[in-house]
Amino acid sequence: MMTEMTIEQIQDELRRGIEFYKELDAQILAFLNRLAEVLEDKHELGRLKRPFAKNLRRSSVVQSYLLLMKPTDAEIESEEVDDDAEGEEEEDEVDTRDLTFSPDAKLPYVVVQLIGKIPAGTGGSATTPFIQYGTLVVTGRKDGKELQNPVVMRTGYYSGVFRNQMCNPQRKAPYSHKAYKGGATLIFEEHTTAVQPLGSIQTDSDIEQLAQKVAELVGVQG
Amino acid sequence: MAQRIGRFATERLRLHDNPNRLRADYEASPVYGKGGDDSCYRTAPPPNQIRNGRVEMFQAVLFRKLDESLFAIEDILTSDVFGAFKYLPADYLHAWIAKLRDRHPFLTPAFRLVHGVPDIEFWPQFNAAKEGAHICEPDVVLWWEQLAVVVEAKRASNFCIDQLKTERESTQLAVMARGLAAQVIVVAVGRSRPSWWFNQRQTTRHWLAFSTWGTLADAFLTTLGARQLAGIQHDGEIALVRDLLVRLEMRDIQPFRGFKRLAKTSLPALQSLPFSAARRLAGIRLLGISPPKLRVAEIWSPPSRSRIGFAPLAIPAPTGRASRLVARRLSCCAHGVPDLRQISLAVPGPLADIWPLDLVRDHSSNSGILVWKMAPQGRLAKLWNPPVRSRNSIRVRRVPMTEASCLFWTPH
Repeated sequence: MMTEMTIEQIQDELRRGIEFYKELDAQILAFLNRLAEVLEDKHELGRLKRPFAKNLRRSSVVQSYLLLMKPTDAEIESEEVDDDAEGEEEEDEVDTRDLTFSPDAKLPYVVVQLIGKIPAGTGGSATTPFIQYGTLVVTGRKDGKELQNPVVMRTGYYSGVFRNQMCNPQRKAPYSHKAYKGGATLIFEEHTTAVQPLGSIQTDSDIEQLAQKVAELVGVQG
Repeated sequence: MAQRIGRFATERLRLHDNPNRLRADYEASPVYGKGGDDSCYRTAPPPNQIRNGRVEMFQAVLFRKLDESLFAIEDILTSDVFGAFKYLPADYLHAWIAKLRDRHPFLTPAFRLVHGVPDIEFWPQFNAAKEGAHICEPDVVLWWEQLAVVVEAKRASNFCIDQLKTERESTQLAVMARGLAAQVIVVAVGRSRPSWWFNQRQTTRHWLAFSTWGTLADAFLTTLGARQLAGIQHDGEIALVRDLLVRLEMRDIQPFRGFKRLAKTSLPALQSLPFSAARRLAGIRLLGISPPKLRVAEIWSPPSRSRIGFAPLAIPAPTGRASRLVARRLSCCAHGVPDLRQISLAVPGPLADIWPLDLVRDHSSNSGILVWKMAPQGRLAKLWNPPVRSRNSIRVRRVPMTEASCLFWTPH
């Protein structure tokens, strides 16, 4: 039912909406940053880049928040970053670096989804918004040729895999992605995945418990 | 850039231009705000802050009167954050150390040597332990009796292993030169770990720790909350921590407060807005947690045998059984009408067709009527008798928002 509202009322509503999502956005990113810290400190699971937000599909205003960890036993081309560089510029630099990992490596991720359905075959239960965490694996090349060893991938394309998977709910597995310009198109599949409600994260100990679950799922030692 | 960080993040950054706005956010937070001593903010800062002239510079940075581009950002952050440790009770520093101790098991024995208040030395100049260099200048050194913690702060993550090693060795020389028997630990403070971190971990885990700025913000927030709960906060402490957190937020460094506060917040009734994008937002449920259903009795407890002056009834907590109802204020307000008691309910959206409002029989029944103000002051145009006898609840049907935004409870 559409109710008549004054301009002031609409402005007030919008302001409140912005405040709400501003706080939600900040807290989700703060949560993912803390989670990344615990994963690095206690489970030696390094992040690929800072947690970031991506819009769901092109026209949507709703965002998904991604924390991507390095593939297990991966190496990343290192570069010094200017200390005064702001985050976004640094992110651009990260996206151009190469990432090297073995074909049987797992690609761990943690995603906060504000809307959307829980994927089938997922461990745990939750309603939206929820945290989804798990790993992807590379299963082969789209052209059928043997997978090269090791896999070399731009971190930007690595992010692209997850963007396509997480931020485009209409996409169905397996996901394929060109590893780098001129390179082979790789096929990725969900290895293991689990969910839990975002509202279950209230304190530091909740974050540590989640980090423990992520580490167990990825198979790294604490 | 805007696309990368997202629409709401952009909005958040834009709001950083207004520190008063951010400060208002913190004032509204459960930690400081209603339960805290708000008057502290308006009181004069503690004498030691004035003596050091720190407040003036801090406020200048806070209100963007100082051109920060003239300074290294890491130095400003170091000054803000570790400078605050100088004026705040040792609990804050200990909380940060406790987090470090928890996250770095190999350094736990060393961190246990932390006792009491340390001497804090900013940008000390030590004789460099490295050949060819004359001076080594770490950002901060915290001197305890048996432990020296060297802090190397960066805005980002461009730590150099050689620099950290040199700072450690130079501080060890300084320890010996001062005749101390203190262990030396280096803490790298930055946005994230450097890329070499994991490769070097075997050789550095016994002397090198890492902390993000966010962990420091967490330590400030949780310690203040704990001290407020215990009732041991000092004058000016709240104001200083609040300003510091605002300052960090201006740099996009957020403390983690959990989602509980958001779960209690009512989501605006955006589906009523004539924007498709806003409608889509409204489809998001509030963190899967339903707001608690509160009855009027829980927010309203009139004093016995008194007809006036029940001002302390206000509860800032969100109320209502739907996300569209928020009780803003419950107070005594005459409005020129004798014995008029006001339940002021801000309804942040169009009132639904049916707005259930449970009342307790003792206070409602026939002793009161619920009216809403439609007409000029003093003329309560419409009286409405709640059907409390039948269902012990009141239903307001089809009341436009503007009229329902002021509801009055009057003794009958």
